[in-house]
Amino acid sequence: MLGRSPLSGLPIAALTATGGGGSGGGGGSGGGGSHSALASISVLGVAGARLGIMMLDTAATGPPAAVSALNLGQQAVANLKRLDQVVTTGLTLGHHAVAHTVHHVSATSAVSLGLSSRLIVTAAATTALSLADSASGLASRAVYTTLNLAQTASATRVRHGAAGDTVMLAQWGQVAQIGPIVAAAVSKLTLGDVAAIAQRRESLSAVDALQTYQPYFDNTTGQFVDAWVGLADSASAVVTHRGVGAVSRLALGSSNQRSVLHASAIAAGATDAVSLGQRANETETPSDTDALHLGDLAEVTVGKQPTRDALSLGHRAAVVVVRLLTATDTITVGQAFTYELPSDQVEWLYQPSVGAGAPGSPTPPPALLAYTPDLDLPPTTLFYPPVAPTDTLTLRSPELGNKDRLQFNRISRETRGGTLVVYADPMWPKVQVQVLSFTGLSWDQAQHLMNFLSAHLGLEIGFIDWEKCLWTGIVTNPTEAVTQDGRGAMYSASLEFEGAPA
Amino acid sequence: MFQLAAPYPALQTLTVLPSPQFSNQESVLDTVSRKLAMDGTRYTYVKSRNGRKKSKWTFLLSRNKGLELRAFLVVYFATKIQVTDHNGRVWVGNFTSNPFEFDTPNAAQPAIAPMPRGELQAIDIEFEGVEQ
Repeated sequence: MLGRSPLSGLPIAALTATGGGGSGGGGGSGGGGSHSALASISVLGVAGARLGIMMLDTAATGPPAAVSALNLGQQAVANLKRLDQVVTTGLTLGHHAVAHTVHHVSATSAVSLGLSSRLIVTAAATTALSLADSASGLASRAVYTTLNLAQTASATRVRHGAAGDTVMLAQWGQVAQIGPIVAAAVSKLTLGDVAAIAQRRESLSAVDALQTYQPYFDNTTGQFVDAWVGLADSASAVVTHRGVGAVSRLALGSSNQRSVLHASAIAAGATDAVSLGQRANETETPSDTDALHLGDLAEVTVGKQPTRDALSLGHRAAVVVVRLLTATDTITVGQAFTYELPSDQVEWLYQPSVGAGAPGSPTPPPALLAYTPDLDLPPTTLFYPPVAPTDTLTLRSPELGNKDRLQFNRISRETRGGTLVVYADPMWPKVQVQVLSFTGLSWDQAQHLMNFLSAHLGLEIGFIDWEKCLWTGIVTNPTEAVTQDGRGAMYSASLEFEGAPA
Repeated sequence: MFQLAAPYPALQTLTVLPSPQFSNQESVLDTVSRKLAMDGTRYTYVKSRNGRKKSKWTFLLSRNKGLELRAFLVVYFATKIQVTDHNGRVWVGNFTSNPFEFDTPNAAQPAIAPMPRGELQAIDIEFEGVEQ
C-alpha cells in the first residue's frame, strides 16, 4: 500500500504487512473472517533511515486480537484497522533525524456492536500528532483526526473527522461501497518525553475508551460541552521514551499533556509568530558583538489542521555611529629654573644670563665681558692712519660726563588697535658715538688737536680710549671750539668720535 | 632689582639691573580729541593704545653693568622684550629710546677692580609696553 503521510506529506515508500491476517487492509477486507491477526507493518522512510519503533495496543475495549508492530522510518504513517471484534489501535510515529523531531501519532479505534456477527459498526479515529523541531528552536505539533475505513486491503478511505459525523455503511462488506462515516473520536494524546535519538526504541500505549457523552466544541461559546453522541471512540496514545542516554533536544513534557481535540474543533489553523529581537548599540568599543542565545522553544497546538508555528529570529549587530574623532591639543612646554641673584654681583658685575634660545633668535650678547684692553697702549690717543700711524696725538683722560651714544635705525609703527610694532633689519647701520670733553690741555695739545682734526678730517682715524680700548672711526665735530679757561694749561676741548671698536 | 629679558616670548637673555632712580615715569598713551559742535555739544574721540603704557627709567650703573646693558641694547634694541620692574610688575614691549646714551656723571664708589674701572654710568631708558 502506497500512501502519503497526511502530516508531513512525505511519501511512504513501502508498506508491507505480514502475519495471519495478511496486510492490515487485507484483514479488514475479509469482512470479519479473521478474528485474530498479527500484523507487522514496515514502513521505509524516504531518507532510508530505518527506525525500529514498536507500537503495542494495550487499551482496547476488547481482547486484543491483533497486535501490529510497525517499523517506521524517517516519516511514517500507519493505519491500523480492526474488523469484527478486533479492536486495533494503530499509531504512527515519525522521528525525523536529530535536528528535526517529528512525531506522527495515529490511533485508530473500532468499536463493534455485536447485534449480530454481520452487524459491524466500525468507527475509526486516527489521531496524528506532529511535532516538529527546527534548528532554530521552533517546534510545532499538529493533530489530525483521520477516519480510515477500508473495505479491502486495497481500499482505504480516509476522512478528516468532524463532530457529529455519522458513518453509514450501506453495504457492509462490499468492496468500494463506502457510506457516511460516523466518527466521533476524541483522541486524548498524552506525550511524555518525545525526544529521542535515532536508535532509541519507543513504546506506545493507546487507550481507547467507549463513551456515550462526548464533549464538543461550541463555536458560539468557545467552550467544550458534553453532548450525547451515542457511541464514541476515544483513543489516547502515550509515547514513552525509555533507555538511558537519550538526549532530548525538545522538552515537551508539560506542553503536550492532555491536549484534547474534538472532531468539531475549529478547522482553522493557528499561526503563532514570535519575533525576538536583540539589539546592542551605542558602544564605545571599536567593535560591536551581539550574541543571541536562544533556548529550545517548542509550542504544540492540537487542532484539526496542521498548526504551523513560525519563529522569526532577528539577530542584529550594529554599531550606530562610528566616528573617527581627532583631538588636537597643543601643549606649550616652557622651561623654568629657580635662581638666586646676589645683588652685589648681578647688579654691578657683567653677568648676563644667556640661555639656549629659540631658532632664529638674535645672537645674544656674550656671556663674558669681551673687554681686552691693551695695557701697553697709551691712554686717550688719536692717531692716523689706524694701521701704522704716522700722526699721533696723546691727550689726558676725558672728564666725567663723557657719553657713549648708541644710535640705531629702526621703524616704529602703531597699528589701528594701538599695538606698537618695532622692526629693524640687522643689516641696517648701528652708529656708536663717543662724546668726550677734555680740560686742562696745554697750548701745544690744543693746537695739535686742531691741526690733527684739520689734517685728517673725514678720514678714518684710530682712537685709544681712556680704558685703553682701540676704536676706529671719524671725528664728527671739527668745528668745536677750543676754549681757554685760564692761565697756563687751561684749555678745554670736546670731541665726538663716531666709530666702532676695532 | 630690575630685569630685562629678551627676546619675548622665547626668552634667551636676562639682564639684571639695580632698581631705577626716583623720578621714574609711567604714563598712558591713550589720547582724547575734543570737538565742540555749533550748538555747544561736546564730542570726544578717544584713541586707545590697547593698554600700552610708556615708562621711563633712569639707571645708575657700574661700568661693568653698563657694558652689559649696552650689549643687551645692541642686540635687542628692536626686539620685543619682557621687563620686570622694581615693583615686580611684568611688562612686554619695546624700547623707544633713540639714541641710547650712556652718561658718566660721577665716579663709582668704590671702584670695581680690575677693569674697567668703576665709573658710574647713567642711562635713561624709555619703554612702551603692556603690563601682563
